[in-house]
Amino acid sequence: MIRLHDFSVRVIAQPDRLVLRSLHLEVPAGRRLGIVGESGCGKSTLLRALTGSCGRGLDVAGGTCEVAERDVFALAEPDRRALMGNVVALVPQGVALSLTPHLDIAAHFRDVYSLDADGAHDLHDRAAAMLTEVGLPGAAMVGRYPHELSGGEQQRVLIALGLARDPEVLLLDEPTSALDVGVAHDILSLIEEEHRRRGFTLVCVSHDLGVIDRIAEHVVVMNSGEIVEEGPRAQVTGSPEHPYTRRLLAAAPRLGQRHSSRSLDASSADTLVEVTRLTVVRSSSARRQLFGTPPRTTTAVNDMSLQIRRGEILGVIGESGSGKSTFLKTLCGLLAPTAGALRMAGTIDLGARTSDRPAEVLARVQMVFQNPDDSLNPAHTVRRILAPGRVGRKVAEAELVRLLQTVGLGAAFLERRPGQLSGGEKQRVAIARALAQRPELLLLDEVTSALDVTVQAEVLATLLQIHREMGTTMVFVSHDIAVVSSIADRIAVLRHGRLVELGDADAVIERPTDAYTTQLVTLARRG
Amino acid sequence: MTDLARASFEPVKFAAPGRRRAWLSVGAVIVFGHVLLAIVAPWLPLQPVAKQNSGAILQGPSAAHWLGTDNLGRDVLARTLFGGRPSIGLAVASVVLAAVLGFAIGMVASLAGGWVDEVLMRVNDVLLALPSLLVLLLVASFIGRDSGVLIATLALMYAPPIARLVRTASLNVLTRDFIVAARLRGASRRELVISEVLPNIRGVVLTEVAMQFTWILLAFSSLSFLGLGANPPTPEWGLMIAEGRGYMTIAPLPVVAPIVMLASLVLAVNSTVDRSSSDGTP
Repeated sequence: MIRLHDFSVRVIAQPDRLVLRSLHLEVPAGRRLGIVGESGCGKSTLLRALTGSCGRGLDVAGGTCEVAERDVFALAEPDRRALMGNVVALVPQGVALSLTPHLDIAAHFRDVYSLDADGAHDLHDRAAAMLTEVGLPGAAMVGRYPHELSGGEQQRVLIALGLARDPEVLLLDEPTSALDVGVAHDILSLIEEEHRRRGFTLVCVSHDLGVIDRIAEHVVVMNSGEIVEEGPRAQVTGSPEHPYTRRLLAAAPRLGQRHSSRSLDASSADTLVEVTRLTVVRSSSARRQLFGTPPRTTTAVNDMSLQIRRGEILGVIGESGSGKSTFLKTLCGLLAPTAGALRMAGTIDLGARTSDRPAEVLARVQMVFQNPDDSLNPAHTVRRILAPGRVGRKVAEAELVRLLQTVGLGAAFLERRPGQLSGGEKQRVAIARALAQRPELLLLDEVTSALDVTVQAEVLATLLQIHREMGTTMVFVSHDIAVVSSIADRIAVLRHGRLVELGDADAVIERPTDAYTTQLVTLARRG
Repeated sequence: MTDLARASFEPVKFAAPGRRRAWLSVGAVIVFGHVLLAIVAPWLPLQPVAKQNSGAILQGPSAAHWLGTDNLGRDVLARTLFGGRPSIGLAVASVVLAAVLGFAIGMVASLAGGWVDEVLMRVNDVLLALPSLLVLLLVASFIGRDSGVLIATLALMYAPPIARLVRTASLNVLTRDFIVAARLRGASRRELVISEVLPNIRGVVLTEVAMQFTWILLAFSSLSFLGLGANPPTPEWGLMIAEGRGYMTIAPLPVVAPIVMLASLVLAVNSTVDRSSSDGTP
């Protein structure tokens, strides 16, 4: 069904730079192919190429790319369109950006069905039938707008749109990124079910080995524009031959695979932060309004009590909306508790906002953020980020270099700006910036979720090393139970703002007591 | 496939970067030339700007008068070159003041939020809604026409768009995580504004300020044209157009010359700004 022969794609502005390097690939009809690789490996470009377009600033450097026995780049535009309309369907990445906000769901289907001779005839019924097939309440859904749908529902609509013309080839780009674990699991089940029913050829691209492992029968591993390994799923994930595949597999976090040294005797450790019956109510609009309706409020954290022990890594797990970010923001003073108390080292009140905290209290609690692109000021050099206001003072130089070395970077990084750093390097600089304040409590908010698996493993190792050497207490928040279990001493599970489970990491993973935790652990084991 | 997904698959052609940078330098050279001429005009070997010659009125170009003479026999070239001095000087002073004012208002509004923001922005909206030329006419008629009053009024009338832009741009920056990080290390408000926000909004704000400069330039020239800006016999472009328009059919140069100067300066500023803002570099 798909045949690539010596296929290469290059950057137009730099003809020497190949994004895809002489790929050879054959996919028989009906097969489920998974393409896995890290960001920048060319997997999305390959998927785009199958639709007969390379994307911005790229063009074909050589070779052929055949879909359904037609070379898609040799086709005239009307023929290519016909092929894309009837034979190939693409479900794009990024659910939020892939539906047009001002059009209702029916209008999206009108677009798809307009290629038919009978046009938009009985559009609503056909759309509703498709939506029902993907597990949505079809008739109720057609009149709704994208913003009224949850992420999982949007993804289902996109799949329904892709399947609407009964394609022979379905291309999926990162079908589960940005979805909560449970929702992602359901989406993958849906794709499997549709494949069984319709028998299309499936090409699924993902950075997540778990997704590929689950959905594909044949796996292609890509690295810097090349196919480094290809074979049946069991062979590639079971006994990989290429060193890159092995690294990729080793880096993927597994449940209960702990890197932590466990030097701490948990029972004797004293309490660093005592959280007593913490409740945080947040309003929907952060800015107070002079006119207009009062903002709606939600209880983001509800009656939560726990202790953060000195020197431990406390893992906090929860899906979006569980209150895990609110908890962190309250700890560092960005939000004020509505009720309850936060005490540090017995005496310091952490209920105060940042503006009310004395400088030495501020420095004690530092935070590292989720999005590496957002957490460093793009206008500043690393030197200025690490030592604001102290630029040019010679005394700081050795200290800054030592700080960079602590996070696995070197003095060469001091004069660089965020735009010249990779995602992993940005996060390391952000960690160094937090450490520069010599904090007692380091808050880590999904710090690795935007990173590739191999980079994630490196950053986690760095964090553990810092923990070993400096003994900093850390709160590590993530939606990924496997990542948390690999680093945390204790795990807290949040759901809808409530603490549903808290205990030693091993105990929570091996013998979860709460039903929700059990579900999370089960999904993580399967994926 | 949805509209958006399909749109992103359309091949995009990039304009050759070299050609567009050349356009930037053409605009910048014209702006630079204007400023230079306005500064050095008194040292150029020109005829005296106010010297009248009743024997040689409304003449065409000659060796003595390269651009001819106006209705009072004054040298058009000298008057045109001197004519930029009041306009550019006054516009620069006003736009600097407007920028400072707009930046302060926008920054305070975005940092304070709440009712402070509401009040400042509603006042801002009222000022935006007033036709600036009308306000200038009233001020010039009833309060006075000296440059101090005009600069203050122009600054006040052209600060609101800058304030609005500064507020929007800084609100965008203020929600980002590096601002939170700065708060967590105890950065003062001054530090937040100067070292965290300002470097990230400098580009857009400078662009807006440059655009406002051209509007102020045109507003002042319009005011002079209406007889409420520069005083005769001061050479000023708007005033020259007003004085020469009655004789335009006999001698077009006294009108055309200042128009060319005014238009070329405005176009050059706009094209420079346009180029640099789409470049992403201030």
